[in-house]
Amino acid sequence: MPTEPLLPRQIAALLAQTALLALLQSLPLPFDRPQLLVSLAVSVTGMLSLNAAMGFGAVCGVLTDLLGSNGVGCGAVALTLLCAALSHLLHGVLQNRFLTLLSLSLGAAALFHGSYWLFFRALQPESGYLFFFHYLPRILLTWLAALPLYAVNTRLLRRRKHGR
Amino acid sequence: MKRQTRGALRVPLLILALVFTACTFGGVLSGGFNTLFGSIAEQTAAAAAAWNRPSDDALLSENRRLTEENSRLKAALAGYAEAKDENEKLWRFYDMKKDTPALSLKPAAVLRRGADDDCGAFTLGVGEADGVSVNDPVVTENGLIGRVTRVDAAACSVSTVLSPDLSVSVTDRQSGGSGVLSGTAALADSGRTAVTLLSGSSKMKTGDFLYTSGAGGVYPKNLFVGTITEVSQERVLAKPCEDIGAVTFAAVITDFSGKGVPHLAD
Repeated sequence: MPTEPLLPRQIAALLAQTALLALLQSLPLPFDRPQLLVSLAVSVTGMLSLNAAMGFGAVCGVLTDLLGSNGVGCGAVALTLLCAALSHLLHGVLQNRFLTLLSLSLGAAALFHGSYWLFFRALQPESGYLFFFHYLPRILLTWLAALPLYAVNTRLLRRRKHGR
Repeated sequence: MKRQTRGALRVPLLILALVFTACTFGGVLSGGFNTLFGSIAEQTAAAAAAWNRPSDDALLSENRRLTEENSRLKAALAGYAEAKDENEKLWRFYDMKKDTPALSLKPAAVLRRGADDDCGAFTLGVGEADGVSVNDPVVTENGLIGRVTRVDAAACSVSTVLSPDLSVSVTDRQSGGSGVLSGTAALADSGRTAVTLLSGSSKMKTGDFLYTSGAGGVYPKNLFVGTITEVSQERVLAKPCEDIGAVTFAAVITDFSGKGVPHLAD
């Protein structure tokens, strides 16, 4: 489990990514988009310690809620717990590899969007339509967005591991 | 061993406690966030609006459509002028004044459309500091488009007339029919909404205009809501007064005569 503290420039890079993705996520565009902050939190979870992953998940979750219309709550709690669970699985149970993260990040995206749909939309009329035509694309887009972010952050955080 | 476990659990529990605290004081946090970053959001919203601007062909086609609609409305206005004249005479005859509801408007730009916003929901850059409160109606220059569902110090979230979260009591002046306007996810994708619980629906026809009835005291009376596009035995479909996805500027009605006073529609 990586326990070394992050270097200041790595923290700065993570914060810069967070700010940039928050800005992109908040653009008032009228079509389905990925939850970029969820993608970022999920993609870096395997490279951080449990506490750091959980903390970063909490920050991304709170930001996701602040950038949405529903108030701080569901997203923040869900992403904090998801990052904690992913970190535990990647460091303690499963092998921390790209393929593992690929499947786990899909599950995480599905859980994040699926739980929101289940708690807030499932009882509305035509909730099935909403799920298939809006939430499913969001799940896939959030998952796909995690892949390039994983590639970028693997490079950023690998240097820390090798002390370069 | 127990001490080690306790030590390991301390940080995750602290993080969870912080998240729950953030949830509890979500309004304050959200207000502070929107106050701090509101101007950045306005800049990005303006950039996105410029990027979304329609092409010259689309503008020409829109212009043609509006010219046609203008001539149709001018013809309708001739009838309206006669009715108005007659109405004025009647009011004068009875020495009464027509009660015109006064509207207090707070205009603002659309700050954001969240990635998890359904049915055209968006965030407007006015909040509690401007006198906005939950359930206030939201309009554009063309008519009613939604209602405030959440508010903090500097911004408010708006659910639109395309959403199933909203129910607006409407009347069709041409036919005298009335009903409740509320959306669904599938209709929202085609930019339409439905009118249900109808009375006098048999007389409603395509092209009729829908206005708020004022029943319930949530929305001011006589605000234009949309145009009927389809009439069937089961339901009536309507197109809202605005292309909700393209709205970049709107206003919140913070006060109007009859606000919060439930009364029956005429």
